[in-house]
Amino acid sequence: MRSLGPEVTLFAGMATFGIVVGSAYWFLTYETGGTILLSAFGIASALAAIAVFVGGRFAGRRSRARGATGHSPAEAEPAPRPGWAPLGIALGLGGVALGAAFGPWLAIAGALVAVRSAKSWLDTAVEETDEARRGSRDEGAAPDR
Amino acid sequence: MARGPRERLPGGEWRPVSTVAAPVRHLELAGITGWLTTTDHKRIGLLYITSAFAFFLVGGLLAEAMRVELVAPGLQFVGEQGFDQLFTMHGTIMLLLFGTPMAIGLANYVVPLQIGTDDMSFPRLNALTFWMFLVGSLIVLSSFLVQGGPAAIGWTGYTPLSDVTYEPAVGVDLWIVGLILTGLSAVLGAVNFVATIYGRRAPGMTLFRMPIFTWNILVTGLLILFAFPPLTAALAMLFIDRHLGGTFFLPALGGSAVLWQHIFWFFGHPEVYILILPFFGVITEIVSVFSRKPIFGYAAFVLATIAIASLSMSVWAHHMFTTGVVSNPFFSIASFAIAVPTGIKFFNWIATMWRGHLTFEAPMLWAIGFLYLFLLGGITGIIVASPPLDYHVQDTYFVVAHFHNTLIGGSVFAIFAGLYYWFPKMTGRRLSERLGRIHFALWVLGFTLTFLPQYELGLLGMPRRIADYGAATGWRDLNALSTVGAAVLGLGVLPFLVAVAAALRRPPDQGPDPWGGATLEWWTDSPPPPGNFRDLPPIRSVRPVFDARLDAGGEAPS
Repeated sequence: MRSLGPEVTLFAGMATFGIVVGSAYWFLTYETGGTILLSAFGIASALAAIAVFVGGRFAGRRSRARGATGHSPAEAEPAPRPGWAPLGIALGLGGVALGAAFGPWLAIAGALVAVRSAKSWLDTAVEETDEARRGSRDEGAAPDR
Repeated sequence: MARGPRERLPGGEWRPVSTVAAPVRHLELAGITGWLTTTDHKRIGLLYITSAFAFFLVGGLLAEAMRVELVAPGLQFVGEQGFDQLFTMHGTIMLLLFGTPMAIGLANYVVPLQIGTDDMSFPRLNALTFWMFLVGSLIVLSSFLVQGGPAAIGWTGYTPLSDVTYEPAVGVDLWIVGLILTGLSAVLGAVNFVATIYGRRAPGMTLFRMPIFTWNILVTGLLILFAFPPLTAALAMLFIDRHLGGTFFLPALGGSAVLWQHIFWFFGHPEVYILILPFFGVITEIVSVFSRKPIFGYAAFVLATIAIASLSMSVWAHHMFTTGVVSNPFFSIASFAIAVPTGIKFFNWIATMWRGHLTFEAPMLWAIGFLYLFLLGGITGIIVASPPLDYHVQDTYFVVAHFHNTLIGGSVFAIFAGLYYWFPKMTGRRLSERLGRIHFALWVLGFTLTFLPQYELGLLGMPRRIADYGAATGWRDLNALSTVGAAVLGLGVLPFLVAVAAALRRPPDQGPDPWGGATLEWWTDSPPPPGNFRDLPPIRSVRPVFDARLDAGGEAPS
């Protein structure tokens, strides 16, 4: 498990910057819009730092529990197959967007296409994950050569 | 095997180093179906690059039409409404449908290679971001086909001009919903880049061993994460104001028109850095490779990038100095402060070249063009960052010249540098050096002719966004010169298109590393196989391929 120290530091630095500059901005200008934008930037960065920190610790624990294999993360992941779902969702969202400009029927048709494509995406992802798990089990069961 | 990493044994012999074998993950379908269904980062990168370049050509044609309109006083080539539509769509296309996606496209292709992985963290999401970008962009462009034509509100879409009272045309709605889609796409793409760079680096590649281009993409990804959501929110609010009875930006009903400017520029100024930081990375890579030297001050480069990105979040209201409702000293000081990390980068680029064995192939020529023209843009940026001077040049052609100096002289020159540099990696073929030089010469000439007169026009008081001017103003000659320059720029693209077409007709003939690069993308074949790498060299520094070459007893650059 790689240490995420520098990654957390990067977000924490951005958080400090946003909060310090946001506070300074308020006391210099008493202007609400900019203060909210800067502070929100700082707070969002702080949340990201916490998420990366906590996520890193969980991942570390999981990795220790399984025993370090030294394999690259890619080896344990399912391979994404080519598929129409991303294009379908994008076209569906395009229909929804056009519906906002031209009328609800386009939006409904677009939403149907997007939902259908999203379902296909999820089905494929589940299938790929199951395949990958089966593959890992088979590999684990194979005798050492 | 002839190539591959080796290490020296105590007895002085060499043996191959065992490396991480990346699994072949992608089953690609053939033909056009393969492109429509792909989840491979390389194909998605190429889709981004070609789409963005096509939009660049469209945006360029609109610019040519605008220059024709302004070539002489009294000319009515597209008319006033048409001119307003042209500059709105030109700005929108160049900034949001060309510049940002081109950076994302290059990053899509190069970043996984530079960090030694086989793909992005979320390949299918990566495909979705591309298709959302394309669909959103086509929706924006489709406004040319509807009654009333495209939006005529400027790429900044200022309220109340963009409100339904003043712009009832459906073209504005298409502009809004199209940009919401492309904005969402950019945010999803940024999540993917940050996750990929954080989570999929090859063993041994710490953050401070990453190539500078990848560093810049990481920082740009973070900027996109924080800058694009406000734009998406503002566009949604504008749509609500226009059609659902909202009053966010309507002062008569308790809203605030200036609120739009705050939110828009909170996105808009970081967007300028989203458009330049990736290309700072491109230039850094190229300057180092063609100077045959390591990057001077790697850590300073990284810290300067982070400093520029952070400061860019706190300077948005320098676009609003003349509104009278923002703290001019605060935003002026913050804007001046950006010159410091940018200056550090310039110093480091020059120091990297200093006493190097410089060669001037096309990528390096474009990189040097970038250094010269972006510097001019930076210097004129100091002028517009100063409120007393900005009051004088606000909304004049001086500002137009300044931002074209940074965005063409900066981003577009670096894009061409990057395309010439990575084209052999992407296709296995090199672009014609001769055509590359002609292309470069025409662009330096065309750029100078187009935009230097615009500084003078701005100082003479010519406002931006006007379709005509009086004969007595004395602006005719400078405008004519600028239009001639624009024509040279337009013609200057042709050698590049010819070079690409000619290269693609030849069979691939380039090895893994045609330039003597030092980062991981130069380790694998050109173009890379599915899964990218058969093996990886040990990563002990920021230049793993250079290290491997040295370990193998190869000729080391100075």
